[in-house]
Amino acid sequence: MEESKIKEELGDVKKTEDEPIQISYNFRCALCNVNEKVHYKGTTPPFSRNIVLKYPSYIMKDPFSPPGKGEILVLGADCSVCDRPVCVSKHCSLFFVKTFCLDCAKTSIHTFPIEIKNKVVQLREK
Amino acid sequence: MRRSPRPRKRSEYKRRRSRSQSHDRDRHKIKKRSPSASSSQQTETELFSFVNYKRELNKIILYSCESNVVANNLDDFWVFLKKYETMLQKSGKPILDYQYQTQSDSEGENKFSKYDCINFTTSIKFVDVVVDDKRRRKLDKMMFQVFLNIISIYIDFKNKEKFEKLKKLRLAQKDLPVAKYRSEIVSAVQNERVVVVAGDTGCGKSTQVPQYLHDAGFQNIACTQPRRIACISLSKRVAYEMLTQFDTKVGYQIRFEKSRTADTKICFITEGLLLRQMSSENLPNYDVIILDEIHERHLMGDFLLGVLKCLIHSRDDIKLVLMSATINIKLFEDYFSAESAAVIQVPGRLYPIELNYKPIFIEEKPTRDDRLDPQPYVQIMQLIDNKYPSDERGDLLIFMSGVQEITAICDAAQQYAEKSKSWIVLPLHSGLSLLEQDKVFDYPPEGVRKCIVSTNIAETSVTIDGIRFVVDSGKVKEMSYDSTTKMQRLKEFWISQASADQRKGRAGRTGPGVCYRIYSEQQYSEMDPFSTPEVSRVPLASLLLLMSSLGVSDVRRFPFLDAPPEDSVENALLELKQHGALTSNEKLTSLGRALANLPVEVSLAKALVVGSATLPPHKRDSALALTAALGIRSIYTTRAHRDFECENARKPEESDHGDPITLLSLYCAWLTVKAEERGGKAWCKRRGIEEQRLYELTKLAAQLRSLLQDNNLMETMEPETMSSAERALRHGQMKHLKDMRRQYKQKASEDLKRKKRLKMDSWEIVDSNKDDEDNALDIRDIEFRMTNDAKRIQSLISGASASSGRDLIMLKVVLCRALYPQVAVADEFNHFKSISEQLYHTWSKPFVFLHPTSYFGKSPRVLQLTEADIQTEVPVGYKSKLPLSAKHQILCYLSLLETTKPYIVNSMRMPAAQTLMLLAHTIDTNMGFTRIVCDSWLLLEFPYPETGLNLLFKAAKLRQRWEALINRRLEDANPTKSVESELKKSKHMSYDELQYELSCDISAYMNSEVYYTLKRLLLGDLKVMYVGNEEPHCAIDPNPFEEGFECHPHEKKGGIYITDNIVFNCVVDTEWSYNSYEETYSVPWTCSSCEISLCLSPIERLQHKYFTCSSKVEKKEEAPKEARQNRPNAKEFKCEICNETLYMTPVEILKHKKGCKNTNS
Repeated sequence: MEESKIKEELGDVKKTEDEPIQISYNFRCALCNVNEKVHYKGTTPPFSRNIVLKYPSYIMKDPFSPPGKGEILVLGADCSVCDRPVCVSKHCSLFFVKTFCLDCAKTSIHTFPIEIKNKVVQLREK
Repeated sequence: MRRSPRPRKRSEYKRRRSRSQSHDRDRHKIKKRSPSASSSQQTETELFSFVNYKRELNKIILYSCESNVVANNLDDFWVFLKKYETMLQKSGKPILDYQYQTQSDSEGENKFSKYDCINFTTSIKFVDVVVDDKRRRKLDKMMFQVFLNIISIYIDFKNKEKFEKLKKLRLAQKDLPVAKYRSEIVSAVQNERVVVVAGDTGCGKSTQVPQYLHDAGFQNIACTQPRRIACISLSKRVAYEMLTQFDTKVGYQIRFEKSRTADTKICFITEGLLLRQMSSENLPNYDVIILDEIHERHLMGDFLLGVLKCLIHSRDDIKLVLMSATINIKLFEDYFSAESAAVIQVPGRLYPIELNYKPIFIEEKPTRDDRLDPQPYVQIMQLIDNKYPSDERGDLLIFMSGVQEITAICDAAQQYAEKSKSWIVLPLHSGLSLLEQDKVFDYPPEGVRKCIVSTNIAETSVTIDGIRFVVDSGKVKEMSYDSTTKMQRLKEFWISQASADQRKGRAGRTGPGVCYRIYSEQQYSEMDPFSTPEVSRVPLASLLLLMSSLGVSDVRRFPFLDAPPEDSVENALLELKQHGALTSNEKLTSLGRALANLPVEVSLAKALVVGSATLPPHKRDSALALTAALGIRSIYTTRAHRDFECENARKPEESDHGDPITLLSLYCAWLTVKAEERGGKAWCKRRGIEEQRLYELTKLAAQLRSLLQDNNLMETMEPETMSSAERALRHGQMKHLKDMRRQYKQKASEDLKRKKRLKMDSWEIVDSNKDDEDNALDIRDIEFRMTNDAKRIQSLISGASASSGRDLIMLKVVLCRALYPQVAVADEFNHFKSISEQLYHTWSKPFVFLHPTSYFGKSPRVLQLTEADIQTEVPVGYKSKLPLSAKHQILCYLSLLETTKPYIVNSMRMPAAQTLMLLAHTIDTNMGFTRIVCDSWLLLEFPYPETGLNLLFKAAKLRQRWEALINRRLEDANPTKSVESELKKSKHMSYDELQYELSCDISAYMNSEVYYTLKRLLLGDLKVMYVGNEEPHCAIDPNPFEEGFECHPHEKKGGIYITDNIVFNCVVDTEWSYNSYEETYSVPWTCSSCEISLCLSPIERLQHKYFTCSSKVEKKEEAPKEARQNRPNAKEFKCEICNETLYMTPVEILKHKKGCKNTNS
C-alpha cells in the first residue's frame, strides 16, 4: 500500500515537471493522412494516471472533455512491422497485442488467429 | 466451490508483472480449471452481473483515482456495462470470463482473445470492500480483474467514438468549399496587404479562414462580426474545431463580456469594439484583421473599412482580410484598388432552387386594398401540401416586412394549419422573447412542416437549417432617417435584387429548394441592384464624434465606401456643436472626448457626463440607470401594451413625469424583487417586460460606470468592507450559485444534444410551457446574483430611485439638458381633441403625435392646464387669447419615430419657461424682459413686471454656475498640471458643496411660480418679431448677467448679446409691453437692500443691485476691485446726499443723484 502511495506521489511530481515543457509531436497517419498534433508518445501518458497502454502510441489530451480530468485520446501508433505511423481507424490499422498497419497485416494475414483473419477479410469486402 | 483463489491470484499477479512466464503451466491450469468452471459456475454466471456490485465498484473507482474516463462518465459506463453483459449472455459467454487472465500473455498465433485487440489497460487498484449482503458472493480481486477488462473495452470503445468524432470533424472541414482555396488564401494574405475573400453563406469562410491564417503562423488575429451573437458562436465553433474548446486560444470580445486572455490567438470581436480599441491608444497587437460580412454594409463596418484603409498605410505590419458574400465584390475591389487588393472567390454550396413568380394581380385583391391579404401565402401552403409528399421533409420560410404583417400571415396560416394538421406556424422577429425566437430551431413532429414567418432577420442574421421552401413578399420595413427633423422613419420598401437573391438562397442550404416570389419578374428587374447602405439612412452624430476622437481631422473628406448624404453630415455636425462636443470650427472639445468614450448615443452620453458632474455621488446611479434604460432596446414585450393585465400590473410603477422616469422606477422595482430573491421572471412576465433587457440594462449601467471611472469623470467608490459574518454568508452564497451555474451548463449541453421537438399545439398553449421554465434554473439570474451581492443591489436601488423632491428634479433637468433641443410643445387646440389626436410641435418638426404606448399618449391630460391653473385676472392693459398660467409644460423627448404617423417616443414633462430659459441655445428679449423668444421658436410673455427678468436672470446665473461645474469636472478629468491650476484648485469649493448648492438652487428655480403665456412662432411671426440691426444699441455696462462679458450686437435681429445665449433688446415691443416698460421706468423703484428709490429700467435695477447697491459693496469688498478693470469709465463716487461711496459710471452717477434727490425731496 505504502509503496504504491509513494509511487503515486512520484508520478505527481513527474506530471508537474512534464507539463510546462509541452512537447508536441506531429502525427500523420500514413494511410489516411489524418494529421494532428499529439502531446505524448508512449505507453504511460503523464496526463492520465490510471490508463496504461500495451503498445506505445500517439496520445493527446482528450480535446472533447475538460482539461485535468485525465481523459485521453489515442490517435494511433507506429506499425510494429514497417514503423510507419498509422491511426486507430479500423481502415488503417489493426491491434492485436501490437499495432499493425493494415498493409502489413494483409501481407502477413496467415500468421494471425482466425478471428483476426475474418476481420481483415470483412474489411476487404467492404 | 471456488477453487482456492489465493494461490491462483498470486501467480496471476506475478504474471502480470513479469510477462515472460512459462506457457506450459498456464495451459495446464486452464485445462484443469475449464471443466469445473463451465459446469459449476455456469449457473452462477447466468445470474451474475457487475450491476449488483455497482456501489462497491463505484466506490473503488472513485477512491482509487480522482479522474479518468470511467469516473467522469459513471452513468454512461454502467449503461455500457449492462449492454455488454446482455450481449455476452445472448452469445452464451460467461460474464466472469477468467480465461483471459491466463491467456493474455500467451502470444501464440492461434489463440485469440478479444482483450488482445485492445490497447488499453487500467491500473485501478483493488480495494476490499465490506459487503453487508451475506448471501451474495463477495467481490474479490479476480472478479475485479475481469471488471477492469470491461473497463478497458469501454475505454477502447470511447476512444474509437472520439476518434471518429475527430475524423468526422476533419472531414467536414475538408469538405467545405473554402478548403480548396486554403493555400491560395494563405499565400495571398502573406504576400498582399489586402485580400478580399468572397463566398456565399455556407462556404465556411467565417470559421476556416481564421484557422488557416493561425496555422500559417499568424499570432494575433482579430475577426470582426457585425453581431454579438455571431462572435460568441463563431468563437465556440472555431475553438472546437481547433480542439481548444477548453482553453482560451480562441476567444471573443463583445460589448458586455470577453473571453479573451493573453493566450488568445484568434479573437472574434464586434465591429464597434474594434473601432473603440483603435480610438484608445492601446490597439492590441494584431497581425491580421479580418472583417467579416462586409457586404451587409452596416454603419460601423463601412466606417471600419475606411479606418483600416487608412491604418494599413501607417502600419505595414497589419494585414487586412475582407470577407463578404458574393454581392457587389467590384465595389470593394475598386475601393481598395490603390492597395491592389487580391480577390479570391469561393463558390458557395448551394443546391439548385426552383424559382416561381406568383404576383398578386390587381383583380385578385380584396376591396379594402390597404390591408394585407394573406390568401396568396396560404395558397402556397396548400400547394406544397398537394405537390410534395408529407414524408419528404423540408420547412417553409416566409419573408414579410414587419410585425403586423407577420401577425396577419400567422393568423391565417394558423387557421389553415388547424384544418390540415400538417403545419406548425412560428413567427420570428426581433420583438419576440429569445425563448420564442429559439422555437424556430426546434424540430417538428414526423409529417409536419414548420412554417416560419419572419422579417428580414432570417435573411442573414438567423440561419435556420432544413428550409426547403421560401416565400418572399418582396417587401422590407427599414428605418430611414431625416437629419433635418431628427426623425427616424420606419417605412415599407421594395427589397433590392441582392436581398431577393439572398432570400431565395435560404431555400437551398440543405438540399434542392423552391422559392416563390409574391411579385412579378418585371418587378424584380425594377428593384435596386443593392440595398441602401446604413450610412445613408441612420443618424451620424455618434459616428462623426467617434471619427473626430479617432483623429479624423476633416470628417467630410473621410474615404467612405459610399459617402453619406451631405446634409446628413452637416446636420450631425450641427448637432454635435449644439451639444458642445465640437467647437464652432469643428475641433473636438473635452466634453466631446468624454462623450466619444461612451458607447451610447451622443445625447445619452451627455446625460451621463452632465449627470456625473452635477449629481451627488450617491445619486449618480440614477443617471447611469436612466441612460442605460434609454440606451437599450425597449424593455417591453409586444404583449405589454396590448394586454390589459400587464398594463394594470405596471400601474404602481408608472410615473406621471413620463416614460424615462417610469422606466427607472420599473427597474428599481425589479431590483427590489431581485434583492428579496423572489426570482423576477414571473414578475417581469406579469408586467409584459422582457427580463433579459433588464439584465442588459444592469450590465450596460455597470459598463458605463466603469468607463466614466476610467475617464476620471466619476470617483471610484471604495467597496464597503464586509464583516466576517457577511463575508462568510456571501462566500456560501457564491458557492451555491457556482454550483447552480455548473448544473445549468450541464443541463444546457444535454439539451443541446437532443433538440427540442415541437408540439403540434405549441401555438396555442405557450403559457403552460412557460410556467415549467419558471422553476428551471435561470442562468441570467444566477449570473446576476454572482456579480451583484445584496449590498450592491441595495445601493443600486437607493442610487437609482429618484421618486420625488430635489433628486427627481435634478435628474430630470440633467436628462433634459442632454436631450435639448429635443422638446415639444402642445398644440393650442389640444383641449378640444380626443386622446389619440393630441398634437405636438417640435422645433424641427411640427405636428407630431404622442406615441400611443407612452405614458402621455395614454394620459395626455396631465400635460394640459386645468381651469384652476389659468390666471383669469390679467394685469391691466395685457391682452392675449392665450392662457396665462404658471403651469405651462413642455415635453422633452428622446426621439421621433414615424410609423403610421410621426410619433414622439419616450417623453418627459418639464415646466416650460424654467426649462427653456435654462437650456435654450438662444434667448431673445425685449427692453423690459416681458417678451422673451427662445430659440426663435417659442414666445413667452410675462405680463407681470420684472417676473420675466428675474426668471431669466436666475436662469442665466444658474447656467453659468452649472457650466463652470461641468467644465471643472472635465478639466479635472484630464488635468494639465501647472502651478496656476494647482493654486486655483486649492481655492475651489469641494464638488459636494457645489453640487449641493447648485441642486438646491436649480430645484428652487424649477419650482418658481411665474405667470406667462406660451406661443409657438410661425415663420410669419418671426418676420415681425425682431427689431433688426438698423438702430444702434448701447452696450450694457456693467453687465449684470455676466460680468466682463463684452456685449456685441447681433447682426440680424438687432439688439446686443449680453451673454453667449441672451440677446437683449432685439424683440419688438407690443403695445402692452411698451406701456409696461414705460410704467416701470417712470415709477420709482426702491432697492430692497439699500432702500434707495430710483427711476430705473429693469436692467438698470439689476445693475444697481449687483454693482452699485451700497449693501453689496459692504458685503463683498472684493467685488468692486475685480469690477474695476472691466469698467474703464467707472469712478469712485461719493454721493453727498446719501453719504454712500459708490462705484459707478457717469451715467449711473447722474441717475443716482436724481434718485437721491427724489427720495429726499
